[in-house]
Amino acid sequence: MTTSANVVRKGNILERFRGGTKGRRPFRFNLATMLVIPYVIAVTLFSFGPFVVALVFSFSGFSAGKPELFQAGFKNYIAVFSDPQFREAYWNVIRFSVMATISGFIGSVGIALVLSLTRDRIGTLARSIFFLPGSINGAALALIFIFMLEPTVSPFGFILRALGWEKISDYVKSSNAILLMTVLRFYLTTGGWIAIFYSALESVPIELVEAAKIDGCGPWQLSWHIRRPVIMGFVWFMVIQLIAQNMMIFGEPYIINTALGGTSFISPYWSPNMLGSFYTLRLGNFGMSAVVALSQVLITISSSIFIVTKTGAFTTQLTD
Amino acid sequence: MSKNVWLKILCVTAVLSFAISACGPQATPTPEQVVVTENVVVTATPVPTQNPYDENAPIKVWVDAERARSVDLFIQANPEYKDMIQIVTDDRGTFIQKLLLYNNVGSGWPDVTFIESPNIRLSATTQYDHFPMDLRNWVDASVISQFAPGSMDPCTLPDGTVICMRNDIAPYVLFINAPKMKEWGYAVPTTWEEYYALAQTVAKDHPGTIFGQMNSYAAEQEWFANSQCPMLQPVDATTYRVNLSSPNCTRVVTLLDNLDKLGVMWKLAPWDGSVYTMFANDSWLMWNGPIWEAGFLFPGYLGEAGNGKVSVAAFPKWADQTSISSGSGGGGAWVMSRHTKNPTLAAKLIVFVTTDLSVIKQAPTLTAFQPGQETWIKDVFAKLPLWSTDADPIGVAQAMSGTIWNGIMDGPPITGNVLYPLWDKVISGEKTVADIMPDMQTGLETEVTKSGYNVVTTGP
Repeated sequence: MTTSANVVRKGNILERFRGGTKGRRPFRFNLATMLVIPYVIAVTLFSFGPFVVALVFSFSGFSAGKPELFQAGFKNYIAVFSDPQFREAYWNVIRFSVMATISGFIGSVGIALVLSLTRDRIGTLARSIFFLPGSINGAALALIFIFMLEPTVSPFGFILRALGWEKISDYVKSSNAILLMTVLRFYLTTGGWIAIFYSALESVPIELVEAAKIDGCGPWQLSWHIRRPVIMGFVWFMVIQLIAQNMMIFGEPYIINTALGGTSFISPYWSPNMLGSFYTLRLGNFGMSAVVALSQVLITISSSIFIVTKTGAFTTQLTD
Repeated sequence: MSKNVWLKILCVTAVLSFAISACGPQATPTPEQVVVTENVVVTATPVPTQNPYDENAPIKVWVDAERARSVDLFIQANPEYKDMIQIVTDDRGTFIQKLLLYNNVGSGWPDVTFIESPNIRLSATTQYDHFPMDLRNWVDASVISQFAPGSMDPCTLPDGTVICMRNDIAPYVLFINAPKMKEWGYAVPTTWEEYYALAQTVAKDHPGTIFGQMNSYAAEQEWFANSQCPMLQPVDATTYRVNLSSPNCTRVVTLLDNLDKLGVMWKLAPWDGSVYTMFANDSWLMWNGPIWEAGFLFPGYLGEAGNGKVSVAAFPKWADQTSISSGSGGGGAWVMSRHTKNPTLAAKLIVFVTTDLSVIKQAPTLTAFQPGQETWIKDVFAKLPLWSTDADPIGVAQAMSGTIWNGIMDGPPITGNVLYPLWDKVISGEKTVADIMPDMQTGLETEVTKSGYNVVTTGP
């Protein structure tokens, strides 16, 4: 937008360089910028900084567990990408991610839609109950999960025993690992998203709802045809975020592997991040684990770019 | 700033990294040289002006609650060191990570640590900057030679360096349901051939009885070390042997699968919930496990009602073996940091907690120090209330305490990493032990090469 004010400003810039005056025009102080600064500091320290360190480490040698900067060329990359366990770990989390994202998607959107149908106290109670598991962190949930799976001590033991499973090994095997981790992830992530989608669904303008009711919409049609399209942008945001988060899974399988020790159905290199942890602790090779971490960053950066540019979740009136 | 500028900065960083890595100078060996020089000073007669050690420096001791009691006994016996010893009881599972941190930061190492020997062997590698001090310079050779045969092998590197002092060993024994054994009139088997024959009889005459357990917990030590199977055998400083087609290994596989087919073997972990139900129903005839299960697990399994009802026997051997071999189902060790400022005190502490009778008498585990084994066996093991009147815990423990065979040695490559996920399929009934052996062979070979060693697949 060019206005006479802008033209005047351009002219003044030259004057300011030469004269160094206190400024003819009032200083435009944008408070919004200040609000972003703490976040920028945090991202630099905890995200961008470590990313740069990982990049540097991935080209560094670690023969004595200490970095020899830029001594390794591409050796770390070759070592990691030619490691069959690396491909196996990614195959595990890709399958896991597909299952967990689909179940998360159906679960959170479906439950949110159903909850938006309710108008009574049971609905309110149900909302709180469904949200609860999402408020526990992954590690604690993994420990509770191990306990819940044991037919002799689990509160749901009567269901497991009724199904003929007397011992945990009757139904928990390493071939079921992906399914079990999916169930665990479902409880962890869905709760929060149900709350978000429910509030988004409820925030549909009242005029739209009234108009739809006049046109003869029943409660389910209202949910599906009127409220759902409002949240679809955010749903894609969630799907992509879930895919990325699920590929990065580390806490829950690591805890299950170390807690169950010799009877664990999760191998020590089940997910890429667990493999990276192995590279660090067994070989002292931060370079190889940096390569694993960078492969995960690639996934998150591409998914972030996709979310911002393609899903419409970040469009506002100003930017379309 | 605009997106383009950030993108340019990122590209420049990336290009710079590639460029520098291509033209960077070779790594100088100076840090390594410093290490070597320090070692030379230690092994030579200490020159007073160059002595980096201080006999009055405090030491930090990292132990668990159980072993902290041993350190307290040392302080009681030597009160002059009370203010010089600081006890830290962090979870020793984090020791390896912390060691990486300390090496990178250059300080913070504990002077004395109690951990499992596979981790000590891992800490002795180049990537962990050779953390343990060579104890040959600080502990008398006469003390080291009094440890039970085989017990100090995990603490000794191929070049002879002694990196730790063994705290305890855990040879395997057979626990026997004495009243039931008497009632049915069976003889305790002394060879695996007799064991299998008895298993067949029991399966036929008393179906539903549990004859023993074949879970995955240290299965390699329990079954395969007993048969001297070269599953993960150190050959020299850079090589391991993995040869599961050796007859010593295949005979174990056949035995386990045959026992499994009879349906008499319990397959879950010794602390799994359902084990307690099984013992409560008195459906067991015999049980096999490391010697510490007598004090740790059986009181929980049988309770007061079990007192006087359990007998013990030596672990069987193969008929063609001249003597029994046993793996060790556990066993921690004490290690001294080579960065310590007061190795004299650290060594004194380590020798005390592994050899002094006051410590041995209150330990739940069998000591590796031979002169002290008699005391533990008579004062701790034999006094457990479980034993029946015809049991001979003293004889059995004495017979088993010198039988440790170390041909399956963990650290840095770990057998469990490969064995546990595979054995999981045996436990669930999906596969037999024979089915998993080819995967075990390739898995162990990978584990060895992944840890940076060479592998040979033939012999001995």
